[in-house]
Amino acid sequence: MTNKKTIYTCLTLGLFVVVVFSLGLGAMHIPVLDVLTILAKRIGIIDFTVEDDLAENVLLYVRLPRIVLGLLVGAALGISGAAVQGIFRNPLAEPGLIGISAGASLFAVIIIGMESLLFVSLSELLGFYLLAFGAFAGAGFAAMLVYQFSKTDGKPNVATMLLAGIAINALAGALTGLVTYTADEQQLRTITFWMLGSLGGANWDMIIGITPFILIPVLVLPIYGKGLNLFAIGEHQAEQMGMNPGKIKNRVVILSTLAVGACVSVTGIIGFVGLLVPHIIRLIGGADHRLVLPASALLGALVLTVSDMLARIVVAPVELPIGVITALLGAPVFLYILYKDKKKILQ
Amino acid sequence: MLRVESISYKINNRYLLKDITFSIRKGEMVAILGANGAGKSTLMKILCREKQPSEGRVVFDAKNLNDYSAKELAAKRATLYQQNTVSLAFTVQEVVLMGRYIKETDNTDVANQLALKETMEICGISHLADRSMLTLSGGEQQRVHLARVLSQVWDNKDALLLLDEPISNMDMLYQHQTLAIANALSKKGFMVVCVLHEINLAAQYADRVIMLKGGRKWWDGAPEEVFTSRNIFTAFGVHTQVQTDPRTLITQIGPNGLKLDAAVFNSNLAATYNRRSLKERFISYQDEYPAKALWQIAEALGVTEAELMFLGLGENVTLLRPEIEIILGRIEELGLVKGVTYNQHCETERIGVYRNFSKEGYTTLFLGEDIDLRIFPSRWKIALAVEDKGKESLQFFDTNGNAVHQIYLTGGSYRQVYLDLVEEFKQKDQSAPRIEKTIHKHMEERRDAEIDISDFHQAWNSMLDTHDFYGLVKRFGLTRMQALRLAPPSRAMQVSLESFRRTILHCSNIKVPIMMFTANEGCVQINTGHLSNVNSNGAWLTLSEISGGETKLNEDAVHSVWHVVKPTVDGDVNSLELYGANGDMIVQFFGERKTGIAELESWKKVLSNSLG
Repeated sequence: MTNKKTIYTCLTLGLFVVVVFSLGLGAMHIPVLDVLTILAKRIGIIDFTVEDDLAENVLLYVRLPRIVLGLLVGAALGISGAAVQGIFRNPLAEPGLIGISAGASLFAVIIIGMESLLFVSLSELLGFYLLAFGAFAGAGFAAMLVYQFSKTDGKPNVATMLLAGIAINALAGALTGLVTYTADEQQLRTITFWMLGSLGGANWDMIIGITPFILIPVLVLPIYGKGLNLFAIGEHQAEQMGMNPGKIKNRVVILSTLAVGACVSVTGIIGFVGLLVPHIIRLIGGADHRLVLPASALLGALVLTVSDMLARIVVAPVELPIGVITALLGAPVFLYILYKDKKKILQ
Repeated sequence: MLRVESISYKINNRYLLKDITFSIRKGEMVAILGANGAGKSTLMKILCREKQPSEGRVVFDAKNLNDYSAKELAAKRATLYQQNTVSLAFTVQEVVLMGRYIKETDNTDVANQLALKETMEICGISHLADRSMLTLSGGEQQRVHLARVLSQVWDNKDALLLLDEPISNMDMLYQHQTLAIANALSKKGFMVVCVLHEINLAAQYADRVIMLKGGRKWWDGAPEEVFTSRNIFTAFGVHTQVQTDPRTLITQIGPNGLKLDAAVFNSNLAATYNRRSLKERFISYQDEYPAKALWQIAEALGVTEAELMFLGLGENVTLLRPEIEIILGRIEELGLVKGVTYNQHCETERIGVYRNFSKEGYTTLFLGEDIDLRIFPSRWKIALAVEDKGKESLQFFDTNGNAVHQIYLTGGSYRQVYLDLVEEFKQKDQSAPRIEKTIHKHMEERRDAEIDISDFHQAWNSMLDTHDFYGLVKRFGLTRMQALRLAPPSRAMQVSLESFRRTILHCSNIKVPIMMFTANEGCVQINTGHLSNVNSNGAWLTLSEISGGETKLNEDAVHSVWHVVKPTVDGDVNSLELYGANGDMIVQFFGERKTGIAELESWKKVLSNSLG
């Protein structure tokens, strides 16, 4: 139990420190103290301000939304990665790898591309939500497809899961490519941004738009910790232990695809976070989903904030796509898990 | 109480289970047995509600199984599946505690901790509590899952425990431990249903056995009722010996092993495999029965004697070129050696020099004082030099791989001559020659009526030499036994084994020199002289000749003894001939005689006295 508390405390503290540092770093440097002061004033704790309007504006309208978005997306990717791994009963199941993100992005691109033709009125009506819902639908569709493909004898088979993921990724990529031919220049720019994955487009409206899609999964998913634990032994076994595996599976898949869809709709595909983060948590705190789910949300937020910070400062003033950083961090972990546990995982 | 009411289960119109009815009371441990595909697993899946029966229903504690909610059922029924894989790194303790989730109390709850501690202890996994499941062996994992399943219903005395092949990965200790746990829990009120393959374990631990065959209930009852040889054969197709342990009264089933000859279904690999395994079998057989003769071992192993000897090729056995007569002509140079000739029921060995080598038609002769041999060299096909436990010998086999003659070196032999001889005749290609496995056919006896008896009698009475008898029998197309039966009056009389023995003892006592003829397909060895000793050891009668020759015969194999009289130019010659059940001659006895001299009077006298 103390172990659990320590993990939460460390993660929260780390997150706070990283956020503060990250706010200060970038093309324009803002000292840590100034960062804290501006924030405190904004919240209303103190009543004086730093005599630097530019710093305050950069902080509040450029950096802060970007970092908040990073936190939300990181938490969503972390927790949905953990949840999807719980459903697939396998540490290699990652929304990006198995095509869930690709499904989301395909649907989002289709919506962008077809906007002028079909969705004009709808889009005016729903605004940003249309994109989020589209991405969610795509993610959910892909998830169900992969799950059905990978199931053999009532138990997900990892090899088919990964292969189905490859196929769906390829298919989504091809269809996305097709859509780009019908797009105009403005749409093309939006689509290209999508493919790379970036937090660069962050603004407060966007954040307000996606917050419910992310907060609901992040807060609700941990409820299914026990259920996912039983699921790890097997669907049938879980039923014998008094759980309704179908119900858990549906809800967890809906919640995690909701989160992934929302993320993809605003940042494009950011890979490997959902793989890396739960893996680290399991290494430190064990496989119990009651810990892994919430802790993955925290660590996901932390990892994405750090990655974004690195993306901004490594080759400043130019920005690296954040997907490059997460892939650099995550892909070796993927290989490591494969190498270490291939026999046990790939059975 | 669990009641299974005439359930059937079908897929694609094929019944996997058909009309199965039984009920299980509290406190009962029931084993379900059956061959692969008999429907055991399907039945278990229906009992644990994973599958719905096509017909019939399952009633559990007076309520249809389907009317329970998942939670209600989980509180009173736990299932251990055959296959349980955990691919996330849960610790053993976490997995066992999952069984307690249904209680919706905290892990630290006293009851949960007690269940955890007790189940881990009894399943022998306490020391693994903090290990990751991914690091455990299959058997250990299965024990963890057993503990988890037990912890789920640990404090419910009315629980139903369903175990589907719980022990398939476990070692011997935990196979017993698991079933003992199940049995003990049943005595606390649990109902236990357990699919098993190990029939003896079922007999030992189950209160009741339900045997399935082809989706139907074949038998249902106490182990001692169900496990009869006949039932087991019906269900599994295996022949068994069923006994009851007199001390524990537990039924014990000993399956008769199946024997398959690889040559029958894998002809490509057979040759080398058989050779290796034959050698092993030969060695272990020899160890087990050190006194058995080579031909007996060969018969037991289903091969020929020569093939057994070939096993030593390249090691202690050297294949010689089959230039039989040239080799035989050189044996004299070896000095004093021991010649051995045997058939299945008689063996003669004698030390001496192979003197007076000569040829006479198809026969090669040694007419030495000690070594007196008639050899049919055309029958000798294989010559081997063998060194076995320090004894060196030349061994000869016929085309069917049967031993015809052996020559052993003795202290009086010229070993260097022997070695040179072996070197000289050593076959370049030391691979085993092929043995023709022709089955030796016994000649069919012709009907007596077809034989010209008077001609035959006349021919018999006009024999000039004892050797003519062979030709006589052949000319009239008779078997030897038939010839004796149809012999002219007082030329062949059947006598008792007892009178044969009396004759021998007489000869020994009053020093009448006799000749003992031991024959096989390839040669006849004659052991001639006074008998110094007659010794009976079990069935074997050993006749020791005074200068060391020894003839041993198996009296149990003697089927008939005949006193035969053959006329020769030197007068009548009397012999005693011993035959086996199939009419093969075992051994022949004559008084000592030489061509041109009449038969010994003393021999004649002994015969007339002993045979009365």
